[in-house]
Amino acid sequence: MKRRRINLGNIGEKVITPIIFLLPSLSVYLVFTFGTLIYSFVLSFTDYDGLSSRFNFIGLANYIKLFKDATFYIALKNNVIWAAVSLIVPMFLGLFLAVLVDRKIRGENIFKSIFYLPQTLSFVVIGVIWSWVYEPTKGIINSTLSAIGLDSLAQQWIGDPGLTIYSLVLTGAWQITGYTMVLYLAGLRSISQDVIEASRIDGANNWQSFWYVVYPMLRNIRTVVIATIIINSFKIFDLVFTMTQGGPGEASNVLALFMYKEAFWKFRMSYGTAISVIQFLIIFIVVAVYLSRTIRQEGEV
Amino acid sequence: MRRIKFRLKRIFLYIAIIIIMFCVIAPFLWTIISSISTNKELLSVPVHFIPENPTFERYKAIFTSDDTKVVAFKRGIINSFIVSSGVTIVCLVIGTFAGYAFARLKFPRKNMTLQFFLFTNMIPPIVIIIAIYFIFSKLDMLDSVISLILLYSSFITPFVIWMMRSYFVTIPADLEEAAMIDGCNRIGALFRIIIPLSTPGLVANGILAFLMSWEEFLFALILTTSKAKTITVAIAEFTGKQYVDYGLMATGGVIGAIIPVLITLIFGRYIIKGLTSGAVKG
Repeated sequence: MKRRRINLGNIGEKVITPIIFLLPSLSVYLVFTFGTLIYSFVLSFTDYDGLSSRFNFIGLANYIKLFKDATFYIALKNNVIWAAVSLIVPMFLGLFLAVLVDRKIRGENIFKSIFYLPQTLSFVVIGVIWSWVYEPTKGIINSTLSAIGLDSLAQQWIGDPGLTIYSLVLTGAWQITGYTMVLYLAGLRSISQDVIEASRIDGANNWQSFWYVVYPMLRNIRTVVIATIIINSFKIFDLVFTMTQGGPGEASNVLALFMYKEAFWKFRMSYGTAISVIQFLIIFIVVAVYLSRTIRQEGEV
Repeated sequence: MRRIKFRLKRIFLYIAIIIIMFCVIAPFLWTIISSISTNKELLSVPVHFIPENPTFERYKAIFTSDDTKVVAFKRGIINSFIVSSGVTIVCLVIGTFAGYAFARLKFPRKNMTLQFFLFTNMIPPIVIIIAIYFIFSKLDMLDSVISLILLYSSFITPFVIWMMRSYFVTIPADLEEAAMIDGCNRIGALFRIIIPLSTPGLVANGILAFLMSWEEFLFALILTTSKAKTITVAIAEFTGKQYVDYGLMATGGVIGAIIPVLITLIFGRYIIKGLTSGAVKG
């Protein structure tokens, strides 16, 4: 009798408790994220326009049209530029800042909070602030340049088709650097001081012990930072929408904005879903590579 | 001699930090300055970096005017408060339970389930927006604060689950076992031992969940049309292209930034501590 009771308790502990603990999150999840993801795939093979309630299956027509669409390649190129620049500027600036504030300095917490500040603002607000910073005659950049006699360097920061996307990426970098700093800081804190001291005893100077000891040990964090940056670069929307709406022309268009315009301005919903499916596949590949690497690393430990 | 060298290094360190800090803060300062400059000063050449006659007229106008855009703006602040608070509560409740399950309970396919959450966390919401729009319009759920709460929660909970799991893992299991030997069941142990010990983690996650929903734009833009508009949508409309009044635009930006900035300056330490501890375990 007693034994049976214990068994029942075990079943409860192993099966029922996890179900109770996980049910709310799993159910919200399956419906919202997974269900809608599959539904997006389905819609991309139809001619749904968002206005009429009926739609037909049209096979791969949306995808064929997409691969012939010049705007698609502009948007894709801009997303790639976004990722490439972000993998250089915020990556290294974030590491630099993390190393700076990791030394026991006075007011460390204040500095960290301030560096992190842009990360907590919404892109819409950042867009408003930076449109004003880039403003051709009154903006802080051009007015500072003319105040110190460098008028010739003043630019149409977001009006020049060749320059717009880079100005936008710079604003994005301003926003995300605080986040990469926090991630690197976590990595630096997890490295034990003994290792660094050992390298010092072996005669390494500051720079050598950083480059040969600390930097390689940040590998795991670096994977997280790279994956985050790439994913963010491929879903960028708010900033471009508020600052340029993809203009001038299509010069600063990105995939998400391209999808939004097609679906909600031109009422080509199914065409929009085809764009987002492609966007999903790009991010999926990045995530898959990232996850397989982290799983392999966990296996090594 | 060495001491002087050390001093010099420190001075360079502080100079570097202060220069970068200036680059971070300059756009904020510029926006604040513009919002309190008179229109005449804003348009004068050369630019005035320090306003001669600071004016708070625009702030007053935003809180008293009956202009439809201004009314929408105020409505947006209220809606954002409701949505963000709702999301924070939902995420903390669900995230605590699920995070605890992943940290402590043993069940089949645990790692797979955890990876499923991680994976879905990485799906950009933008990919499913059209499907969501389609479903919400069929179910008559457009332009509703409740829909936004549900939707945001579903994107933010995996993050909270992950962070809470990392936090719970650091709490020694012995404490709970002791409580359970003393007659607490699992739920009792969770509420009496684990949750009180995790307050800093809960605070950090709550703040992050609040901020994430406060700044969301895309879904709010597409799924709301009038009564459920959030602050980000209101700012975007308020400062839209048709507005040539830069001073008013800057004022909108300042008001939109106030709450996140205050939260970061007050709770920044907790947020960064929470994020770093989560990232190390991840």
